[in-house]
Amino acid sequence: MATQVGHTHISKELAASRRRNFIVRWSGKLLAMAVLAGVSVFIVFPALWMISTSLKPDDQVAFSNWIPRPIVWSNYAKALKAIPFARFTLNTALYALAVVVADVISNALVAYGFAKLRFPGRNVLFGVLLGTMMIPGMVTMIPQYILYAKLHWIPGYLPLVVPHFFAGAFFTFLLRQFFMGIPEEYSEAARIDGAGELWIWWRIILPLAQPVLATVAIFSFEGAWNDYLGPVLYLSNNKLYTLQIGLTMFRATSDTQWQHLMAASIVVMLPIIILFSAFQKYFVEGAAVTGIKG
Amino acid sequence: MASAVPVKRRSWNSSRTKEAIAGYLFILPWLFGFLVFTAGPMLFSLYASFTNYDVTSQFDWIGLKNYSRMFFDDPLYWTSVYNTLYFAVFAVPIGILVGTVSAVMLNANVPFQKMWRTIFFLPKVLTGVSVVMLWLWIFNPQDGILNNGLRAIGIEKVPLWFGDPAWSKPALIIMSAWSATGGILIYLAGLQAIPKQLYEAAEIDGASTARQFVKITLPLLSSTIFFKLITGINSAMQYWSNALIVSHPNPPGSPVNSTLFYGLHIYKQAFLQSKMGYASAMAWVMFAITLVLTGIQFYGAKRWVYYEGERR
Amino acid sequence: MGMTWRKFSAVVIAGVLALSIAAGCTAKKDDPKTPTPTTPTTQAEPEKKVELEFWGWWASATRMPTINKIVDGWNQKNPNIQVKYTYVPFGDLLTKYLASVAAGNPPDVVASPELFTVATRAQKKQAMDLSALGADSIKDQFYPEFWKAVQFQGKAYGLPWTGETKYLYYNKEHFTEAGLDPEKGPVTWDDLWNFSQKLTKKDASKVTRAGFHPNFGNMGYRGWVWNAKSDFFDARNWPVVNSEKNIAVMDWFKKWTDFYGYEAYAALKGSATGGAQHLFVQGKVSMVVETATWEGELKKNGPNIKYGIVPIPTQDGKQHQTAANSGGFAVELPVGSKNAKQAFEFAKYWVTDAAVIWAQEQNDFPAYNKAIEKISTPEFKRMVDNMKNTGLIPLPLFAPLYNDALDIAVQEVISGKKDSKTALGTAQSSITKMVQDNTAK
Repeated sequence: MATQVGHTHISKELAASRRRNFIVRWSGKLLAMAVLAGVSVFIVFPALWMISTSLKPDDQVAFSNWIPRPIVWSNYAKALKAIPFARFTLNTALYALAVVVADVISNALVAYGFAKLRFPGRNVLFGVLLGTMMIPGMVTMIPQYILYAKLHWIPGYLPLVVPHFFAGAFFTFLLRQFFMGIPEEYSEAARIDGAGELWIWWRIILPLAQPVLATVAIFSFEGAWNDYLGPVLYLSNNKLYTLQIGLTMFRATSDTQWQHLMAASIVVMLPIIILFSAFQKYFVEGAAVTGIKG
Repeated sequence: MASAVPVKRRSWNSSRTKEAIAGYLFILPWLFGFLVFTAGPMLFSLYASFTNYDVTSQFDWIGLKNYSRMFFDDPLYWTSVYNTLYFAVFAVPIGILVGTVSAVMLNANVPFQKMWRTIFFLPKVLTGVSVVMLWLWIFNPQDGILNNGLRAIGIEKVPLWFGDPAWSKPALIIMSAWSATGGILIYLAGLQAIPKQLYEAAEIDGASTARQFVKITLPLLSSTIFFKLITGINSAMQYWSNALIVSHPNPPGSPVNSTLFYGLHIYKQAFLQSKMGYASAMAWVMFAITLVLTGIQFYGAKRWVYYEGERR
Repeated sequence: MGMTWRKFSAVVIAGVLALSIAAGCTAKKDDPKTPTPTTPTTQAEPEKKVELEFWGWWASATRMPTINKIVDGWNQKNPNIQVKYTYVPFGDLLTKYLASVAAGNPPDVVASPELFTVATRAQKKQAMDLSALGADSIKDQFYPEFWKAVQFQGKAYGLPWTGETKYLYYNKEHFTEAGLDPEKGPVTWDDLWNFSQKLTKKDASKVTRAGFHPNFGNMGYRGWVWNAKSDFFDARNWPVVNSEKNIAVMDWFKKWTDFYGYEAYAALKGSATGGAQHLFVQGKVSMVVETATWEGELKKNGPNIKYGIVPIPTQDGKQHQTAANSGGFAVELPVGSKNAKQAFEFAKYWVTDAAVIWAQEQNDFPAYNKAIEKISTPEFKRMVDNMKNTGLIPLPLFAPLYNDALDIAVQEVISGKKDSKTALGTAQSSITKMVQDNTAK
């Protein structure tokens, strides 16, 4: 409701440009959604196939139809009863939890050292760190097993959990990259005030690195949850087995019950998907990096 | 590691000494663990590479015989090198492309953002033998969904996928591209670290979305992309367990050794032929190759990787 | 979010650390590997009580009742030798077995997932010499082929547990339809060929029903070479892969493939998976070689199929020791196991009386030749009768991967890329090389 002619004139242009922006923005969003939907189909169809197989009756398991006729919901109940699901879940959950805590803390410490502190031999040691992930594990498996046997840690969870308290190449490298992206000004300000490195690490760097720490947490959790070879090698007590070992119990040598295996696999996968979905905001909403530079 | 600030002579600078001590303390967990758990087995396998170690009955020094056999007397070795490089050359760039583009799309303000992100994350969770068996069904030349779909859109001569040596690696590359979306988390975390004000300022200056992507996103994401590149090369070099599953029940590496990756060759030698010494030699050569490739990337990184808070 | 989250995580850390250390410690204490020779409180028994660790790959709901029955039965009768069964996934059992022997803390008894690599493990000092523990005294209780399979340099290094045999299954309705006598299955290779001429149905270039193909089913090129009374290694263990006979068998494979056309052959082979998708169950093939235990699956997945079973046809129609072949399973005592004598007692039980229980309840076939006294189903009798036609051929010690080279040759010939002589010539060179490399040190 303009009173001056000039004001109305500007309003109309502004309104038109706003309308244009709105259309551009929304058609952009629609295009993005279309692309996302298309790619999602590609991503999801193995999962859909898995679900479809898990609901098929015995004799239709290898058929190529999407919708089972009839839909056998009881496959899930049968799958869950076939192996000691509750116990395996408890074992796997405790194992994963211990690993996550160990991984997040140890790698955050070590990565900070490599990223933000200068010391003689830093580059060489970092190279050695990276080198440890370049050796195919098969040839170190036997000597490692022998080492743990000498420590009397076999059978048991110690060989699986303890090494995570001492950091590893992948996560340290990941965190190092991120820490190196945090402007020095934050730390400098604290140093001038007399803060020690550990305080800076805890109070300044870690909060700024929340998304990547959360990423390390879920990757670490998934790694332990889906870890197969480690538990197979180092555990010998049926009662301590993990879910992945449990899944193998569906594979009899002659006649695998695929529908039960798929149902069980889906149930095993769910916790991670739920965790990811529930904690999404930690992965993506960083503490605002307000940029001292402006 | 010469400092760019020649204010005081480093050896008498107590704050640098304090910093160095702090540095060593921070990395101490890794250093300790490395010396106790990792270095021993690594050195053992290095030594074993010069022996005829078969784990349970012999461990005699044979000098460079394993290495000379590998390079001059084992045609399958070169097949495995070729297969692995073929895979890496395609899988690594495709993986990075898929991951970056997915993450950027998922970072924008689209409706149902949370749902899309969960969907894209699925491949990270869908791992294991059951999933590979699924893919085998999908790639089945006669009844698999993929070929059915190709025929539906008019392609008569569909690839035989795992039944054809020429198509088995492409099938595995497709599978790996699919898995690549699972890595979006790392890119997403990287994207979070880019200050929003930069985009706002660019918007005000009238920069297009594409220009913003090239001038802001890519440079500030470069440290993340670099990470994915290095770890991507590393895992491509060691890619092999899927090949074992897809070859079953034929000999591992089928068809016709087209899926005999370097790691699979090592596995066969180590566990099916009990030649752990020879396998160790192959593993250390792979180590050297990966080290060189990584080193080249680190050298080249100076030109395109940017760290906001680096301390030289 | 900041402070409370950190405090919370600190508590979680402490709790989980405590838990994991506790878990690690309790697992150690539970360690059944340390055989606690507890001196019993009663003075009557001077013998040490021992706990044996037994690794096997059975865990499914179908198998476990029998396993528990056998183990519990043993434990009740043998208070001084208690057996604890541990499940290890089939695919990784050998790796775990190997690692445990290397580290010196192996289990006491291992169910061996591969009868034909017992000799390999014997040579590599992974499996213990059982003749030294008295195994030879029971050798007559097993079918001769099985006993032969566990030998290495004249001594037994495993006890054979179960095995198999193979038959030719044929579809009686297809036979009647094609004007063949449904009660007379094929006896010679020529029968297979001639019958197939009548049984095969084509629809333009697609083959809707194939009579037979040697590469369908469960025989493979190796099986047919053995069926033709040939082999890949001579008496000195040198490869003779490209002998005249072997080339002839390969040509036979090619003949069959050309009869259907490679495309049709590949289409059929590709559409076959297990269970209900088996080619025979689908009705896409009229005659196929399969294992004896597969009969159970056939009955389950194709209950309406009227099938006949005959021994596998040979070139001249006469059966002999390697007309059929099979693998099998055994039990071994890992080198380094601490209670060898007691472990051997249990192993003996496992392959004799326990094997009978297993065979009855799990429909399996034991190497124990006295099982026939307790099991009298017609299927079982048939299996026993066919044992004299079943060879158990161990993996050659110096070319364990020779089948890789053979498989490539078969592929190349069938797809028309090479002729039999050339393909087998290449296989011969690679296998010779394998043997040379493995005998070099």
